[in-house]
Amino acid sequence: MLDWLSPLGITGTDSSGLGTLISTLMYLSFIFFIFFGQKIQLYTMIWNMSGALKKLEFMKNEAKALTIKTLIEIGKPKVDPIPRISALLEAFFITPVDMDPAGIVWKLDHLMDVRDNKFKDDVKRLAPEADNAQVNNLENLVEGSLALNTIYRIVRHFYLLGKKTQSFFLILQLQMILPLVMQEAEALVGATKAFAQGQPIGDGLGPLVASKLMKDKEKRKVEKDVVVSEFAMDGRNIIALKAEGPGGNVGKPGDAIKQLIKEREGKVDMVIMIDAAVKFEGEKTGGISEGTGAAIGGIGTERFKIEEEASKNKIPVYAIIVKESLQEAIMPMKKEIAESADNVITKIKGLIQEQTKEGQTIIVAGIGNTIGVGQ
Amino acid sequence: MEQKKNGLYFYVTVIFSLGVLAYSAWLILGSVLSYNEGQTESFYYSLILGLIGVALSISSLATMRRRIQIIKSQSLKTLTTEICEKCNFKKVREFKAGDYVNKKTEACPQCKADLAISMIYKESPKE
Repeated sequence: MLDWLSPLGITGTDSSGLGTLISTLMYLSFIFFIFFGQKIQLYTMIWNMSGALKKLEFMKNEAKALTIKTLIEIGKPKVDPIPRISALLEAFFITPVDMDPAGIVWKLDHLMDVRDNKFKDDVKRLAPEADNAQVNNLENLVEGSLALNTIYRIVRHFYLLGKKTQSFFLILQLQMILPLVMQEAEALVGATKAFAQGQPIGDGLGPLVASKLMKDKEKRKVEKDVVVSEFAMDGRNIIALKAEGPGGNVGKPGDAIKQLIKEREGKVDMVIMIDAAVKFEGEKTGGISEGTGAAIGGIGTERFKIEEEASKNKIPVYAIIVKESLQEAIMPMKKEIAESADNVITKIKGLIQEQTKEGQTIIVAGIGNTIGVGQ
Repeated sequence: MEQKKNGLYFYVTVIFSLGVLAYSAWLILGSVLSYNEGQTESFYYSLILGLIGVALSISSLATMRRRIQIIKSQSLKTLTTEICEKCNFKKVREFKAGDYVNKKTEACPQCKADLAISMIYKESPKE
């Protein structure tokens, strides 16, 4: 079998010839890997990444198709919505200059309002037959598709740049974060499905708790898309608030809390914020933690408003959070999260009894996206 | 139709992987016998081929297992729980478009009061 190697002195009739062949191959491969090891690693990473990129492309196409299908089904557009949706999926947002940070929160808040209003108007025009809740759901759906499209474009950019420049470290950086990017993309696909059907998502825990508190009680609308209900509990005046549902909406709880405190000339004794928060790996989904401070995510403008108003009036701010992963927060709500709402209410009652006296006023704010949660 | 095709592909892949695994195990056994008989060349060939076969088939079976888990998690249903506040009658059904928490749905079959949606959640995968 090894006759063709006989000119090299390797013969297949004895085991020493085969041993020489194997050791020669070992030496050659060792030298080969010294020179080409990194290149081989680079091509392996590029190959892996091209697979991930194909998967991302499939996901963003699937999300776009779902968006178009849902818009046509619910909104009954009079013109072909595809060119407008394609344009919306490429939309961008320029944040204000932060070289002189004084007053940046209000600039950012204004720009975000402009963006949100424009997005909502665009969706309304695309879906003339949709009611307000459906427009909010469709807006969330378009936002989910936009996020997937952006992830795809960024990954493709670095993949092609790395391939073009053959830069090992450029590809390596992308390779390192790729599992997390893929996890987020998969969660976004789940989120778009939930938005298309109007199902509650993990982030809706805060509004779910507030809706349980304000059930069958009188409600009124306050600052942008927020509903408030005032009632008595254990001898205290409770003001529960949440974004107006059941359409996908986070409202502006910062403005709402500010307005409520101003209406009472600062005579509020406690603010309790309920929100879903990102858990550490290994922690149980649906676990509850108590703390202090304004529990609210986003870009920070709403948190700023609450912190400013609370500190101006010396109002203590407490937070009750329900733990969930970043993926669980945007995917359809899990049973463990939904069931934790009643335990959160027990915690709120405990906190109120421990920290306040009868007759005092407490604001309970359910923070998060209220999709699929009415009031 | 597509689902049937995928199912067939799955079974063919699993059967093929198991076949490769069995053949690889037989090759490794053969290599041990060759070693005992002093056939070094045959020993190396069978051992290397056998190990490559075992690695490939195990990798293929592990990939199929991961895919099954993903498919299972995707096929989980979203459930809606309706409750009657008056008599505590509880009804769990599959989610329908238009459902939302606090929506009054129908009359309670026990006491004729309103049933309202109390929870909408995705069922958890079985451990």
